[in-house]
Amino acid sequence: MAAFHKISLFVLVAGALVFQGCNKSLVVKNVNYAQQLETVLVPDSNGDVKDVRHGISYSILPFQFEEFQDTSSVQVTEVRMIRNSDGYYFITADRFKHVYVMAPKQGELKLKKKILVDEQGLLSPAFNWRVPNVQLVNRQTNEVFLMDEEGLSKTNDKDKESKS
Amino acid sequence: MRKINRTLGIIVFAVVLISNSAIAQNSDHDIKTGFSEKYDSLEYAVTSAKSVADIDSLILEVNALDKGYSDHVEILDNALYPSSYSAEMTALYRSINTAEQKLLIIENQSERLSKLGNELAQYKSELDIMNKKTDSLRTAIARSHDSEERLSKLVTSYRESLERRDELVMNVIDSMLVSYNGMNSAKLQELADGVESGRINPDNNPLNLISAVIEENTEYSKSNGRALSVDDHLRMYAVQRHFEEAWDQIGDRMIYVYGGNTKKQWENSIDSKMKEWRMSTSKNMWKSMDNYLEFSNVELSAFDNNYSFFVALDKFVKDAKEESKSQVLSSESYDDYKKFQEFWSGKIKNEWSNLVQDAEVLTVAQISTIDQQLSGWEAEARPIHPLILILLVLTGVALLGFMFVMFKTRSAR
Repeated sequence: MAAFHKISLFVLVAGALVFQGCNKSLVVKNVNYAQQLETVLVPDSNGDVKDVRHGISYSILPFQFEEFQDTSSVQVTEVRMIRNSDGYYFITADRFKHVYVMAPKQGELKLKKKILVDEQGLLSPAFNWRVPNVQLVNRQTNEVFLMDEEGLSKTNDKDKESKS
Repeated sequence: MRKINRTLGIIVFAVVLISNSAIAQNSDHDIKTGFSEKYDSLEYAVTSAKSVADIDSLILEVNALDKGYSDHVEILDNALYPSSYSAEMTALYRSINTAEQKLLIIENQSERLSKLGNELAQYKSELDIMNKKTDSLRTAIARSHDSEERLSKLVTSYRESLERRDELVMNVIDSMLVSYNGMNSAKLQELADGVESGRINPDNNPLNLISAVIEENTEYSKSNGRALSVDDHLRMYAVQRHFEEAWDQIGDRMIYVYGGNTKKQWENSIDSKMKEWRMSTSKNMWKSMDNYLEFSNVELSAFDNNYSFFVALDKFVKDAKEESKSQVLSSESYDDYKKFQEFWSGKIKNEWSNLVQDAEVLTVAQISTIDQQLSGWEAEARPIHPLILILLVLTGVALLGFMFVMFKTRSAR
């Protein structure tokens, strides 16, 4: 009887291991999500932007609320967006003080970092991809900021980041 | 020491800050947008260029664009994916080359047309002079009460004048053929627009000249009387055929360009005049050929076109060949052969050969058929020489004499 229990236990354990092996998901390592060129998007009357080339659409209004505390009308004329190699989206716009680092989730973008870049608000921002960082250029002042998903890079003269 | 380090740090920070602000910072997106805007504008300028000079200046601009963005090839390759910077530039250079080729052809055609306009004006003036001279010669011939020698000189001058006039007419239509044949639809449309907008002077409308040439030639063909020979009629017939063939090739294009709002009327008018000219020259030519043959005592059955002329010639030679078979000793058939041979070899195959072939009075195959029949006719028609007959009789008599002597000798034994 004891032998029977032992065999049953062995079969159960082996079956569980085999089941676990079969259920293990396929993982591809070293994926580079980096977008070589920023996307410039114009919101529609509802505040929605759509990047057909890279296959993403969302509303700019939550960002606008963060910046201006107002969603009564769409105040953003152009949205600048770029994605780094880890897949985070960097989003900003004219008169924004921050760059929003957003992590893509199922059906949503979740804030990873809110990086303060200009207390007065950016006047003419643009992103470039400079491996391994995202470069933000304020074309009005010619200021350049290097950043990643954790915030401004250490090479910047001053850290303007602030955690959300 | 700490103070020095701090001062140095501030200086380095200041230098970095100044250099950052001094160098204009570009976004990759701006580079791509700038390139695309300049590219699109150049592409549009290339497709709407109106002259080779425009294209030449655009080539310089495209070279400048290429040079200006050659440092950003990587960015542009990414931005333009699935195309690439080099593919886009190659396409632009290719469209420049195509536009340049097209404009070169158009400019060449424009030059040719301008030259043609001058040529036509010159031809018109020469034709007017020639018409006056020919008319006065014709009148002089009609009224002439002078000696035969003087009349003959007038007729010769008249014929020469007509011949020069026909050369001029051929030049007119050949010049038009060279200029308008193969002209593409874009150029035709451009010319038609020029005529409708009044940029091209309606007085220089080549359709007027064509219409006048046809009318005048028909008139000459109808009123030339008996002063002209078969050669003249053959030449006039050949000129008409050549003119009509050329018109068939370029007529639609010329009416499209110069017909304005009365294209159909132009078409009907020129077609009707052309038909009258064709009928008149054809009738005169076949009639003069018939008269010539009658004068030469070569009596063919009736003919009034290329085919019936060949049939009449073929029948004449075949019948004559058959008749010759029954006239072994007579030289009459051989005389007929010689008369015909004189006409055939002397005129059709020699003196008139170019006109006969140009106007397709007879085709090469038809001439070859008659040649074969002729050699058969000669063999049949050549009479036996009298000396041969005498020799034959003498031989017969000698043979009979020999047989008689042999018979006598045997009887004596």
